[in-house]
Amino acid sequence: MLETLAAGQLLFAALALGALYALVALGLNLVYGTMRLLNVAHGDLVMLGGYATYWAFAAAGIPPLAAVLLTASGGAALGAGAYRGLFRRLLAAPRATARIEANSLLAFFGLSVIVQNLAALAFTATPRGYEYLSGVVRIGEVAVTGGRLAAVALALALCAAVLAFLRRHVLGLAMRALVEQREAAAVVGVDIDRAQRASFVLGFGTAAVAGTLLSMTEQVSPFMGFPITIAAFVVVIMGGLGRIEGTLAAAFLLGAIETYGVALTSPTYRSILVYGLFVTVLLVRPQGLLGRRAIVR
Amino acid sequence: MLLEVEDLAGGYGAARVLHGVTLAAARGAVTALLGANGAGKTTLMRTLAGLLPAAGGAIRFAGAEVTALPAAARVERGIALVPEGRLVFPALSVAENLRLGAIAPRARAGWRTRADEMYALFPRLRERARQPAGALSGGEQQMLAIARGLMSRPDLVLLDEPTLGLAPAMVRVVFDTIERMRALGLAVLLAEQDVRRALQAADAAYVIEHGRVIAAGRGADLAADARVRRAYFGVD
Repeated sequence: MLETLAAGQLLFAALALGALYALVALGLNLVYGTMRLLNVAHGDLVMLGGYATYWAFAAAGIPPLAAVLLTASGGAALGAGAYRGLFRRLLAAPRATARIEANSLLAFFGLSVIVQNLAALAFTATPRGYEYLSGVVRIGEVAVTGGRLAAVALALALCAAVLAFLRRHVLGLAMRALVEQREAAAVVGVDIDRAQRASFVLGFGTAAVAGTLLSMTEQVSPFMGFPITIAAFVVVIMGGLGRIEGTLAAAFLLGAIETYGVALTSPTYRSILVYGLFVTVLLVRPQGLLGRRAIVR
Repeated sequence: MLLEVEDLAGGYGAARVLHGVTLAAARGAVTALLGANGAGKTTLMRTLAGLLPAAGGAIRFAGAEVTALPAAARVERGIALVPEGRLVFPALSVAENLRLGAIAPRARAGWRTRADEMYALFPRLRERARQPAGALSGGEQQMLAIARGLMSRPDLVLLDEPTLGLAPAMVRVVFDTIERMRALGLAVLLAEQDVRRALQAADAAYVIEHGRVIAAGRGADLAADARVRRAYFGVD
């Protein structure tokens, strides 16, 4: 047992899962943080990205690593469209804003169900997968397929890029300002419309890319999005709503807890572990494991 | 006049607070807004900055109408609000707060130099540059809010109750800074509860009551005005 736990294989699995969670949860938290919209359909974007990659490979022969560009721009365009078409108008009226925040969960939930069932209608419920970079690579004692290695490396690189963007770029800074203190952001002259659109573009784009990366290691199916949404929620709650660094830390923590928990028990317990953690964190530290209460003087 | 406000009405939705305010502020001068709590000073400041919509009247800045512009566009024109309650970004560092002060396109070039100027003006901020703004004392947060406002290279600074709750030493620092802004040629609109001090610092002043200007004049004249004396100094 101890030998299993100390194995590099398991550590890599935890890292891989954490990187995927980080990528998905970052986008979810950005959209929540800048607009207070809880996107329950976020995991379905991952599903759509997965299918887009599958079809691009199966029908057009586009390799998944190239399809990343496709799903990234497709997700980004979808985000810009959703923002422009649905939310900008609704958020412009202050009274509608309060209603939207309260109803966003229900609205997104409805959207999620529709998207899932449309996907089932269009693609059938049969899981689909493909063979790509399936040769085994050895790093020390860890054996891993080339596709999986590429997916993890890309996920980590993307998380780092998003973090750097949020820290260094003017638009990233504007988004963090909006997350932190909406009114103060307006005071210093943040273009709020632009920053909100950017968070939709970034959030949708990263989710779609996560779908591409996931399809490189797992089969895609119409209903794969929901568990991903739940995992991303757990990460966001653990890391603190609107907290970027907290999200990253919590993603890798959840990846480790899930991987090692399942290794110690059995895959049947996965849901119990994830939901158990969710409820425990909500009860014990509702502000997040790493979150802190705002200091107001 | 750099800022000309004409018959401005506004408030929060159906709750009208301003009922036709007319005033002006000039470059290189401090214009004080006096009035009791609830008179409408903060509402006026927020409407001027574009955080609240105007329900009527006009705001002209540097000869152009800005009444309907969003807040970001007004910062870009050169209007900076230092809001009541400071509204710093608590989880971001002091340095990041200053960087955000220069987020308007007009202020992006040379922001590092300007941040250094702010650190020279408020040495405490340099010492605490890496700390989260939420960990600063109230006075330090006020310095930061003022510095953040100046980072946008404003022509007009709206200072809303900058000395509220500050220790006397900090109050002096704030008024020294106001003096400096005037010397630099900025227009300063100052809402201040310390009427005596405000009138000393001000070139011109307006007294606001129930969302209307009830008296206006040079600072020294208003200090002698019977209505002002009765209302604020408790003497006849």
